[in-house]
Amino acid sequence: MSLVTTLSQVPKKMRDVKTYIPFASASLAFVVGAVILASTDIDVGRAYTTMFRGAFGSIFGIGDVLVKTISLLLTGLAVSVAFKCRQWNIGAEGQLYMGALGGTLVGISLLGAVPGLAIFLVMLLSFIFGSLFALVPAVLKVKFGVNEVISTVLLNFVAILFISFLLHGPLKAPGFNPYSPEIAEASEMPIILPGTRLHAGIFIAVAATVGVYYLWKTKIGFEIKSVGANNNAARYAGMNITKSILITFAISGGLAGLAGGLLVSGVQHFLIEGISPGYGFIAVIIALLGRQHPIGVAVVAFFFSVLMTGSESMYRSLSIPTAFAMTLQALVLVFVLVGQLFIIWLNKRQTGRRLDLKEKWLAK
Amino acid sequence: MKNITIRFGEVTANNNVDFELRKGEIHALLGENGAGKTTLMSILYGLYQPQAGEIIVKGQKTSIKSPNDAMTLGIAMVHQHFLLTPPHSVTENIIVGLKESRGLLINMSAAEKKITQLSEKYGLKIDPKTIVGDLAVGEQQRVEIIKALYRDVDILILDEPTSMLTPQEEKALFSTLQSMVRQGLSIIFITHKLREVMEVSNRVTVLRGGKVVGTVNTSETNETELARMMVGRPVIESIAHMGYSSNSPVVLQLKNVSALNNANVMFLKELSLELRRGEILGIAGVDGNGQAELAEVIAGLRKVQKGEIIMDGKSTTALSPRKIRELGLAYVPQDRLNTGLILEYSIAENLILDRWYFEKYSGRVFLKKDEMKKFAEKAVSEFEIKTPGINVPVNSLSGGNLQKVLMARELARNPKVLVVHNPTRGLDIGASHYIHEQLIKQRDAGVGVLMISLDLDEILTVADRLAVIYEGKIMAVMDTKDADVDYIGLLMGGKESAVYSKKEEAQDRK
Amino acid sequence: MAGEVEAVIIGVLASGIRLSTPILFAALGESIAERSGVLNLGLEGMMLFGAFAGFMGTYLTGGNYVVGILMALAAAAGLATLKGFMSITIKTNQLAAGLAIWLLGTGLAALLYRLYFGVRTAAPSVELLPKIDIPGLSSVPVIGEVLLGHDPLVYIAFLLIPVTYFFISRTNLGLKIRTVGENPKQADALGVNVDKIRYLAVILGGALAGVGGAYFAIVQTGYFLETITGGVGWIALAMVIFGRWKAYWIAAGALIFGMVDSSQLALQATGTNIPFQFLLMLPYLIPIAILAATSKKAGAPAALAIPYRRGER
Repeated sequence: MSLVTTLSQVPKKMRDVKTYIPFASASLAFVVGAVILASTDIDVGRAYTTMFRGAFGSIFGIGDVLVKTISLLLTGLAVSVAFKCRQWNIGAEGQLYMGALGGTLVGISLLGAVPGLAIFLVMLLSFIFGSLFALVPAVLKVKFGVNEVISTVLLNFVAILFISFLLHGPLKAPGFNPYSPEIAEASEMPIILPGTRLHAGIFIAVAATVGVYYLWKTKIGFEIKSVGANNNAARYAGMNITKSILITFAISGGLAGLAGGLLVSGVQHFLIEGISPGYGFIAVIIALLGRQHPIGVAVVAFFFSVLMTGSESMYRSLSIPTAFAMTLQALVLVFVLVGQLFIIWLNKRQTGRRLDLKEKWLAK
Repeated sequence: MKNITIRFGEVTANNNVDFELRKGEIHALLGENGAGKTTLMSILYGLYQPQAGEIIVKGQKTSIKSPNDAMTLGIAMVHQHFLLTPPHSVTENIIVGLKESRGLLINMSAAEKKITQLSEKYGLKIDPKTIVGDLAVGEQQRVEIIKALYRDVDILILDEPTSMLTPQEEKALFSTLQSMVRQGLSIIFITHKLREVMEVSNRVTVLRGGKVVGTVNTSETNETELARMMVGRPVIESIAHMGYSSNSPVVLQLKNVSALNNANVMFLKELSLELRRGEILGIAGVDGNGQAELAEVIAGLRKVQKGEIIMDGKSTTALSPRKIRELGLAYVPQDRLNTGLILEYSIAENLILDRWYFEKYSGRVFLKKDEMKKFAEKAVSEFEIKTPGINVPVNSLSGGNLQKVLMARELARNPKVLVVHNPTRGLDIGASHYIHEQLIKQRDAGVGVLMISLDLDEILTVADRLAVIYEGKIMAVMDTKDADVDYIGLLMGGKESAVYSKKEEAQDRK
Repeated sequence: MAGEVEAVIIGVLASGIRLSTPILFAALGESIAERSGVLNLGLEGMMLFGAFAGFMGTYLTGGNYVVGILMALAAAAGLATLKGFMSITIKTNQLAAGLAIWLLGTGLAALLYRLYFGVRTAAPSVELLPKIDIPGLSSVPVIGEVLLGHDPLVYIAFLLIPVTYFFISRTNLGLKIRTVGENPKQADALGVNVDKIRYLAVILGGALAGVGGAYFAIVQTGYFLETITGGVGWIALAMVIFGRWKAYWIAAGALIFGMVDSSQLALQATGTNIPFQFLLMLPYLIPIAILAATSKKAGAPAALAIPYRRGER
């Protein structure tokens, strides 16, 4: 839907109870989180204040929120692109790692020292590596009918193990630790907010958001969208389903790979195991919550970054485990899904036929 | 059943229906599609609840809230589309969900014994151990019937039982029904086939448009009368049939086309048909006689097993749908929501669904939104589509406007052949009228229009010629202005003879 | 030399059986759920949560394994009920619901564990579930040593294979489950409560997955880690497809997997030149290869992952 349409529907949507369901779900998630904390005698008020202060209380905090947003936004977009075509790409984490590899390879090579060119190559290669890795399950699906949920998930582990192998072997920097050598300075993303870790990658992420937004307005985007929305009608109208699937995975993997490359180039400056705390998996929740609209994805990605940053602060001050963030995120998703019950209940008050249509749509 | 009324959204499927079944009789429920027969029986079987009316079984007023209730009352239903699980055996299909099988283990031998007993009692030969998927259609139906009988029924409902049977299987079924009745069962037999009604029933109730037209003793009526009751007198719209000439060249030809339906049954049986330029040819018939399959083979969406399709001189039998459309076919399917349009999309997006790759609508990368907009606005004004805007998702449009969007898209192709299937189904008078006008416009412009419709009135008012389809074959073709409704009704009900005279009608009445 | 080789092989085989046990629990359980038509992508989360609950139960009671297993059962069943609620009652997209459960189970397990134990120098641990020794039989050469002397859960898992087969194929309830998964309309028209049967199947499947998860904690390691299940839930899902939803085939798949995993560990130990990571990859690549080689979706329950609404026109 165009931006204009979305905006013109704002007043209507404000009156509609359904818009508030995501907020209600988020709140419920916080309530459940509070219950869990309280059960171990943790001061809930203090916990949540710490979280909030951790995210917004300092420049460093805000910077860190935005740094995380880069990764979550890119991976969230990656997964949402795939979901828009109804391709269930759960392999963003693995694709991210492969992208990180690509970026590292540039960074430690000769080309990595060339100012200007280096950064460009880092991004290009991380995109390509992620893209190619995603094409593996794509081809497996179109040629062999392998269910992409399973193949993408399992390939995550393969990718992570592969990186591990490289870091213990060929790619290992001298010393005892399994890190790669540091990338050249020219390959590093410049910090744009002094006193924080926020680097220029944020612009890339924003650009990607805009890019995905316009993707759906292109010829190829239209085809992909249609195949995802109703592949009967799409086939009947003459669209090529295989082509759409392949392109979708390529873009999806590329974006995830880009996220990986930016982690290396902007944050760590070398490749290390565990460089991603599961961004690729959280991205799945983000994509589902963002309803495949790039703006929605951005909003959710930001919100989740706040949760994660705040959660780190909760760990430092109160020893609350960082898994708290992941739990909250999963709860938000659960409550949103459950919230659909209310949407259906509300719709039951409207005409019968429309109900069936909406139900069918929501159930997809 | 008294005063039964049920509504689905805007449609009143049963309107104050009274229906009565006497013990030991075979009572036929006759009507065209959409008349409400299956709905009424689904209410009796507990699948739907009526908004009004009451049900009295064996003298006691009851409410039937689920199939379980129905079965407790001794009512069983054999559905038109079998409810069977192909990978399972006959026995497994029959005994699932039985109240007696509370125990842990399936008592296979006891069940098989009972099935064999039943099959012998009613002459329904079946081996309980066979896998249902391996059975022929007629045999599968026997499983369905035994499934019903297994549960101690008094009232058996059969929904269009002969729709997939061969003549021999049909004969066998009828004698089974007779023997069941002798054993004390009472049977309700839903059908649209006149011959069957005359052959097997004691009484018949005719439904039309959700209302009861009448209930008569079979011995006191004949096929003609039944046909008249079933089909009614047409409401004549005054649409002039202008410019139609019988010498126009043939633009679409089907030669002995045979095709399978989704259940892999041969559904089109050597069907031959000719459509001329500048005419509207209506295909009349009761639903389920091959209409959808006919439309789909023409559009290239269904494979032709035998025979040939020639459009505008070129053979299109084995071409892809896209190619056939590029050669000049436009198709408005009956399933607007699923195959025709994408609900979440806007009007503009739906309109270019089949042509987004044309240079007109897309540059090298982007879709040309302005061109799309112009096209959409033109379509909206030309077709008087009532919508808040061209960017609104189409699932908010009414049925009539949805159809207009589809028509707009298909007609914009300037086709040579236009196939429409149930073009005004679910539309109000105004929208229907509009669609008819559009079809006439196309006809006047020289397009060959094939209008497949379940609404005989529509065909009689709009089409120049009409053909009746029955069990995958064309029964007869005639000019609409000379058409005799009773005769058509007979053809739709399967009466094969093409020769008919007033004398025969007089004889039937005696 | 031959004796050494023989010992190694026996060791690998025996170890393979143990490695396949969690998959057996999870895959057999999931096959029941899928037979009723519900797809559960959250299997991994249920297993991990079950692992956590199993560990906690055993730890808190000072070593009572029965309590531990029961807690694992209950915890995973609880998650399964939530999944069922989302998929059966609310009829939401089953893939989304499954993924939500996966992340919720993973998150909760990690969160609750660390909340309870905090940061400690020594990880809390429990005694491993003891092996049982059937007197006399374990001295049978070769087979004896491979098949016997395992912990009780192994034997329960293996018993589960024929039990699952029998339950699904020969009982009335199993027939209902199968019919609900193939043709829910038929089941409904014959008076079967489709939703109830699906809930039953899903919860049963979840409970078994929980036991499978607990196996890691109380048998293989004795402690709990967030990564303890290592993606095995996903492998179990692949095994269900590979096994065409049939108990014996699923079991075969699980065993093959266990053997491959075990061989890979042995190869690592012998210090081959192949970097251990590649060997570790095998368990994840093999299911993909199997899926690619076998024909698509053959034998899937016809109504799998399709929500059922009565009277849908």
